Amino acid sequence: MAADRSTAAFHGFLVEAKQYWMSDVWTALKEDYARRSAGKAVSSSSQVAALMEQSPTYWFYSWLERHVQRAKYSGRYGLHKMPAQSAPAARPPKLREVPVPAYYSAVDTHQHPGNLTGAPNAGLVYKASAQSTQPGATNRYGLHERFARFVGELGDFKHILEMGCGFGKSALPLAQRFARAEIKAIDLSAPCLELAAAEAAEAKVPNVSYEQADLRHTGYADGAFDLVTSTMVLHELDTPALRESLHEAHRLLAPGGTLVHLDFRVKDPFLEFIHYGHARRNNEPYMPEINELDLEGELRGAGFRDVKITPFEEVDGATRPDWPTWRFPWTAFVARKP
Amino acid sequence: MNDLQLEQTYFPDPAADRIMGVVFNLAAEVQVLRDRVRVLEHLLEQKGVVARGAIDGFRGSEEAERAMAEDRGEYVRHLLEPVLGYAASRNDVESGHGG
Repeated sequence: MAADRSTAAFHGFLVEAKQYWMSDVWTALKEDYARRSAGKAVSSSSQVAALMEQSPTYWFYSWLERHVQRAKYSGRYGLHKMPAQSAPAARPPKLREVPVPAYYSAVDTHQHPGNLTGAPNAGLVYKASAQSTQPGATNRYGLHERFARFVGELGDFKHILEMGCGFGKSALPLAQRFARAEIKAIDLSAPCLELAAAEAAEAKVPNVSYEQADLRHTGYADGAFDLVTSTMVLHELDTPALRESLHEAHRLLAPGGTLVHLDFRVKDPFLEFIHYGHARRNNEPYMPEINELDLEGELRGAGFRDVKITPFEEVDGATRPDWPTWRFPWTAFVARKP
Repeated sequence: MNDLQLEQTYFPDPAADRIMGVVFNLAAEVQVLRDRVRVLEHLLEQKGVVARGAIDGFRGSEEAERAMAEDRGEYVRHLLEPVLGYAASRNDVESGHGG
């Protein structure tokens, strides 16, 4: 981001604080939990919560998670002060009036005041924020390039729809991986779509186009696509919206088409406790209910078959049990329309 | 701002959450200052005003060192004085007002 020296120094401080939180505080928290749970049979995240509510390490862990993110967006040096994108994209996105769904406008997701559909700078703010969400994994396009490679192993696709594309972090690598395919990428956020279109033009990627649309009813024809994808979208939907999106994806896919969502799934009681706490601290209210949903059953109920739900590594080795740093429980959900 | 909501709290005493906020903001401002001082040092060196190592190797006159030591002591006493818990003005203890 273009910023004065003080703002850059402040955000440098926040990234260092986040990295310390991800490594040292996270390690101390796990050790504290190991002590508190020693000799106890723990089978649910609510039991973990009962053990950890007296843990000062957990108090500080929680405080830092909340407030590093808060300081990123708000306050004297907050990203909310960033100027909006100035030049329109060479190939601008197709914008239309799309009502913001109530489930989305209910809270300021990620502690981003006004959400992604608010201020004109929301796309750039989101991009700047995403760089330090999980330093090491989200600061570049690495995670999304891995996702594109993962999808590439599932088949050669020609007509691709990316749902909830944000500022194009996945759509762009997908368009590069499937250079002969046509990629449509949709989102609710006009500022994000404008940024995505500008980035695609800058990267000279011609086969992706961006449109403003609600993933529950996109307006595309039945069977128009052979691949529908999303990354980090499912957990931002409430259960009815998620169900609608699955039915819409099924309608949009031609027979034999593939659905791939990258999102989160966690079953371990301690990690589930951490995940649900993150949901509260980061203003992601649907994260717990989407984690608890029987997604395989939901996919089958929407007409999908060959459902495969597998842990996804954002960097090599990240799903090892002894992985030393905090991470999201990235999970790939793959299904096929018969 | 309208519709202000209370921030989430994580410590048993919610005052601790707010104190953490002040401390965290101060720490961030210290880093901002550290960064600017380093930039100044580099610029002064580039412009030939102050040689590399001149700050680390600085040894002032006796008077200057004494003044800096006094300043340091005053700063630390000022910083930690609230820990003692004494009032700085007379309280109206008898009537129960402000006591």
